[in-house]
Amino acid sequence: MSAPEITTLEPGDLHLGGPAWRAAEAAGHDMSLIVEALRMPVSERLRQHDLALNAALSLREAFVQQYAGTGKAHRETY
Amino acid sequence: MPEPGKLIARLIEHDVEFVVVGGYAATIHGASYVTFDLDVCAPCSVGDIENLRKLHAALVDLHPLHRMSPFERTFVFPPRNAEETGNIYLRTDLGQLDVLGCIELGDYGFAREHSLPVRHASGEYRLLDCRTLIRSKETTARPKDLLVAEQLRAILEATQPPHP
Repeated sequence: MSAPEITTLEPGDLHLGGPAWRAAEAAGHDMSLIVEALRMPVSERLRQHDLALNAALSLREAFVQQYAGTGKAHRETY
Repeated sequence: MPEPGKLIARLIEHDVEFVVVGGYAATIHGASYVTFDLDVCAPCSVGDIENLRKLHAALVDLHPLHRMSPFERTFVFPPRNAEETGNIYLRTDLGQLDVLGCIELGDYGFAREHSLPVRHASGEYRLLDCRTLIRSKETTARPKDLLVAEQLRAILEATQPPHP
């Protein structure tokens, strides 16, 4: 028998505040991001992930280009 | 431009047998971390010719390269030697794809047994279940894996029906 499929969950369907949830919160994870992800269909989670990845790569590329050859790219101040 | 989501579509469309594992599996379960590559567990040893053929067909127009090989050789079918099977680390036009013959806890059979089906616009694929992904992350126990495991434990707890 195959396992149940992943389904989209509304905040009311989630059982928040248990020990693992509290532990993650105490460790500094932004749990609102997780609640938001759990509300999304899986396809949207993938889309948002890929957008975030490409936004980060674009910013990194722009940063590297701006400071290429200046020796400043990894100093603490500019 | 890396688009791991489109790589999954490619694998589905070409009927490749695989289970999504690793950081992207964590994202699908709801974790908030961003990962650069797509890790899948798949039959990809020397004897898994049919799956290797499908994998090659899925990727051939994406300029796949063995990114761990000294000269980034092109991913070809049939494989040139046994070293090009087993664990295949590729760079493609849609991002990095790691095709793993096994994960920390077992082989492809194990991963498939501990996976669940996920619907996709292109069909259906299999995803390592949350409990097994947590065990896998706890087994590798690198700091980044333990952070993801922390989120996954919270997700598992939050999405389970409460005990009566």
